[in-house]
Amino acid sequence: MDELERRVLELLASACGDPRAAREPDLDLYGEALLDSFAWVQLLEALEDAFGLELWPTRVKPENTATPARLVALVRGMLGEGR
Amino acid sequence: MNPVKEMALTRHILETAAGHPDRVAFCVGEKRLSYRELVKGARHQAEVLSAWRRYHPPIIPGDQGLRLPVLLLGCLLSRRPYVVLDPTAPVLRQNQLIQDVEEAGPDLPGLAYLMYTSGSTGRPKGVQISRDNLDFFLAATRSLPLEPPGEAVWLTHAPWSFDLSVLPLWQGLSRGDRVVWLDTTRGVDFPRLAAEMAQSGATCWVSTPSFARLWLRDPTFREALLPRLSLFFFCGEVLEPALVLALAWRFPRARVVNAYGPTEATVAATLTEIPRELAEAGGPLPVGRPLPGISLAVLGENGEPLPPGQEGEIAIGGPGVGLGYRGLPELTRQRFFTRDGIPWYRTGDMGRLEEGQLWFHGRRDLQVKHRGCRIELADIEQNLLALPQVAEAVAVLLEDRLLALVVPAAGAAPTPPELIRGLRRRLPHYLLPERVLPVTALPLTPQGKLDRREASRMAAEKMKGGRCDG
Repeated sequence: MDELERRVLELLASACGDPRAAREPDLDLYGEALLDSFAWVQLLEALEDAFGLELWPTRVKPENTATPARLVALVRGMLGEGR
Repeated sequence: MNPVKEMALTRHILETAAGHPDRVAFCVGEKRLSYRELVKGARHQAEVLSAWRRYHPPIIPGDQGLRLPVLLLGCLLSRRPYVVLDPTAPVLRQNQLIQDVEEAGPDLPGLAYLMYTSGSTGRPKGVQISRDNLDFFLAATRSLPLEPPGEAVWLTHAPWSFDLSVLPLWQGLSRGDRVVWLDTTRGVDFPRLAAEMAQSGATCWVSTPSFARLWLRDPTFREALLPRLSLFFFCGEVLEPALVLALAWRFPRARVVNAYGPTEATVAATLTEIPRELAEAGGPLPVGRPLPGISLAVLGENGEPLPPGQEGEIAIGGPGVGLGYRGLPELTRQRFFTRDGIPWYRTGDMGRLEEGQLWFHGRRDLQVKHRGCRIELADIEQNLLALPQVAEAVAVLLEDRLLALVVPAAGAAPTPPELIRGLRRRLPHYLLPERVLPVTALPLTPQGKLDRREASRMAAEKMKGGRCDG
């Protein structure tokens, strides 16, 4: 696990209030209803601040944030493309 | 009690269906329901209900999509009140509501709906609103600055189990308008919601301020997304000037109306437009003048009406005041009273009247608003105490964060995630604290009572000191 992954999962687990988010990469975030609209927006803001990204709500498709692994991949991809 | 006569609301809807049957009444996503389909389905539903021998109010799950207004209108046509069940609430909580509907009573004639709200006992309590209350509210809010009847498009996201939804649904249908419902019950999908907004042609937005603030975080939330929007209608929590100004920037043509009122007095009792200049002046915003027919009073310690300018408990009088709580006569007696033949409700909100405008100052008990949702802190506490690992509990609202302190039961060492998981099985999303923080003891005043102020301070310290460590 690199620093990016660790940080993303830490923010996600904190937003969910559930440490499983940091340990289970394929956890079904929507199915488990761990985050409501407000929590999602707060998480996106926290990720924006942490990584200098622009992650406004309509920019993020649910399939790209459905699991912790996909969220990490999303952030990594956006950083890689210099966005 | 008057015999159960036809409602003005249902008469209006039937008239629109007769005159404009193909006009769209209701939209969810891509789906459309015409006035003809609405009434045809509702009439069928009413027949089914009339044959139904069980007497208690029908319970309608809130996730019926396009069928929802059909089912609710069917209840009203059959002279039965409806109760909407929040399907996202835990099963235990849903069962508490169902049990209350089926077993508590009496079943009062002439009700339009029961709206369940957070109860300080840890179980939700049912607010009884009559058909006359609802007809009155709709007549009293007809003067909102809207397009002519039949031309407005109402945009709402509020779950049908929250009474904020009553305004866009029934005022919209009563006027022959179109009602567009953003379904947020099936997971969070902002791109889809934005697309639905763009397609809606909405002219009137109804929500809590929190929901608008959430959308403002997205740069696409501006006039280009909702080009026909002419009115923001807010109710449910304090409206801040900064939000009004942000909306004025993004939606220069749209007006803003602020409204206030408890569920017990049918959605809202006061409203006022907030012009930009008022928001620019800063400072708290007024919550409005009473709707036509509504009386307001600010009561002192002994229930005596206070003169303008003095702070006291806001009381609402008139035809919007509901019929009390289902199966809770003692609580109803405490909060509802009659004076000179007019029904009144003590809101528990503190405020003042000045030059005919009402100002909201806050609550004096343990009821709080969190993102526009009404929460009894004791509701959270009672449900924590119901967990076997918990001996004592206190809930606090700290700068818009809902937190709880918990003293574990002897021999137990629950982790915060375990406690949250336990609460998830008992409480709906909006009642879940962000953190549950174990402590060795709750702070007490010198008199030996729970010191909530100190508890808030403890919670703040703990939040500063550590992170979620589970």
